[in-house]
Amino acid sequence: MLRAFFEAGLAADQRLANVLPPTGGHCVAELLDGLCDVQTLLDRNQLVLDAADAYVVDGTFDGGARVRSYREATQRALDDGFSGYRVFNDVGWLLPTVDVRSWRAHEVRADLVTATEPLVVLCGYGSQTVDGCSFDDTVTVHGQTWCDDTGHVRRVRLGGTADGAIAVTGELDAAHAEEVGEILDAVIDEADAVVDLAALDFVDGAGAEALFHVAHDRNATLRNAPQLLARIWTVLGFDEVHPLEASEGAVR
Amino acid sequence: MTAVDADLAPSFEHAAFFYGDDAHYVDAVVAFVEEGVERGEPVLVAVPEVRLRLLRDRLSRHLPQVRLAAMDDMGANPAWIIPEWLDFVETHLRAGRTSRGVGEPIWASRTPEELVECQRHEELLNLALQDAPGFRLLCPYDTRALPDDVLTTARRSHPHHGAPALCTNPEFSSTIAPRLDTPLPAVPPWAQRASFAGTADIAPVRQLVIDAAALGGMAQARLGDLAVAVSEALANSVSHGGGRGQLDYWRADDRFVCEVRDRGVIDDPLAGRIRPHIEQPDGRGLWLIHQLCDLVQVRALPGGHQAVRLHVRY
Repeated sequence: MLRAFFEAGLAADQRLANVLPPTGGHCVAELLDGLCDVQTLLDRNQLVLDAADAYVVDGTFDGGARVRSYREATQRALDDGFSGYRVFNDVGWLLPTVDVRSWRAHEVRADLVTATEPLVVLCGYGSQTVDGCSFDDTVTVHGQTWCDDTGHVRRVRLGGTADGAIAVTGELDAAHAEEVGEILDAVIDEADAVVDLAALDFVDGAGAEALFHVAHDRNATLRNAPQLLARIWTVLGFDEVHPLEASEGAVR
Repeated sequence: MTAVDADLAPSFEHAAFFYGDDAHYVDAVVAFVEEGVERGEPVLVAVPEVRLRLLRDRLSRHLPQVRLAAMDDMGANPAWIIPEWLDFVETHLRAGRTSRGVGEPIWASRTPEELVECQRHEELLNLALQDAPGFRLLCPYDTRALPDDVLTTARRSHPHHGAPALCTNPEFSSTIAPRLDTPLPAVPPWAQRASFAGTADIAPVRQLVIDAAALGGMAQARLGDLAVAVSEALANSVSHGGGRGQLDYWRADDRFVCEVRDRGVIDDPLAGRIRPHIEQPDGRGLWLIHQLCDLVQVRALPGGHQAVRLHVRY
């Protein structure tokens, strides 16, 4: 699977990198051995063997620094003539050491960068190493999943859109409304945040309430609100204090 | 409620008015309405469209002080009526004005299941509007068309009677019969069944219902209402009904019906009939269910169980 991930990057002429846990793990160099001349890739700086401590500054996980480094590495790759930057991070080992809430917010912020820049990040969550954050939780905060058939079905996801909005997709119901509300609350740090709901297939009262707080208390704009949300919004009286604007309440 | 006039007003008067012909109906209702108009009271007349036609000629000159509404729409689901009266009364009380209303929720073509919920509604009005000083509500009953037991029940559920002048009703029985033990029609043998436990089951069970209703040709907007209502009922069971429950779902003529059973108890008889405040932490589930469905039946079952049966028309 990882080999296929990197092969796709080679085909697209992207710079490839991987971040290994301190305990070791799949090294891209080994994976690509036999597929291509790894030494040539290293010589022309197309392959970068990163280090896990890039994630941890002074012993503390710094999500902001990590997202900045994604942006900078992507820009360097472009400056060096590559079409983008593709990185595999084996991150499951980190989870026991970080605050789950800030981790999830970090993952959504990272997804926003991947949506707007030629950056592809594959986050490896070894299911044996995840603690305090379920596999399903991690799927929620990734725009896409690339994994074995684990039988996990995730009905709601947060991710970035090409124009920098946060997309909430799938089904936002009582099972995940509080969690998604918390993540959105942590991710939204700008006054003009936009939450895109074009692919929100279902929402219930609890989901609408979470979105109401994001819109009303955090001043986020709700874009492409589905008809069902508009209906619940009215029934619950949310429209009396925070109308879904016409442009936000697109009919579909 | 800060209204000065309202402070001095008598408490809520809820009166049954029995009529046997159209002329009597029109004369008494118009006299009751015009008495309010003369006192400067806003009046809301919510009666079936066929009755509205009898009243329009006489009352239209009092618009907009008198508002006319078709009860067939406003009260299609009987649980929609109390919030309408509360909105009406409270809006005017805030402006210091008492008000009055004519509400005819029961007519001959109501289905037996709607009728029970209408009778429950009439009893709950006494509770819901007990803090609405100066509000007079006249409830006309058609003695030509309604069966005797319906008329008898109406005599017991209204503290007042008569029209246009309201009198204390000696037949009023002050105990509110919650009607939570009125048996529901049996679940039909063709119903499908699913069990659920925990929030993770809400989405897949909801999907079963949506697939079944869509297969029967339900339009998209109604499917959305059904999906939210079922989801809220399941979430209620998971949060307040012992964490798990059972769902039966079936098609009945022009309606899709779902019944959720769990170990919960809804102890507030007005649950779902009071518009939720924007900041209240919960209590929105039953409100949404009532608002999105055409009929909702809440029942206490033997053995500490509870059933919430909801109907959505195709």
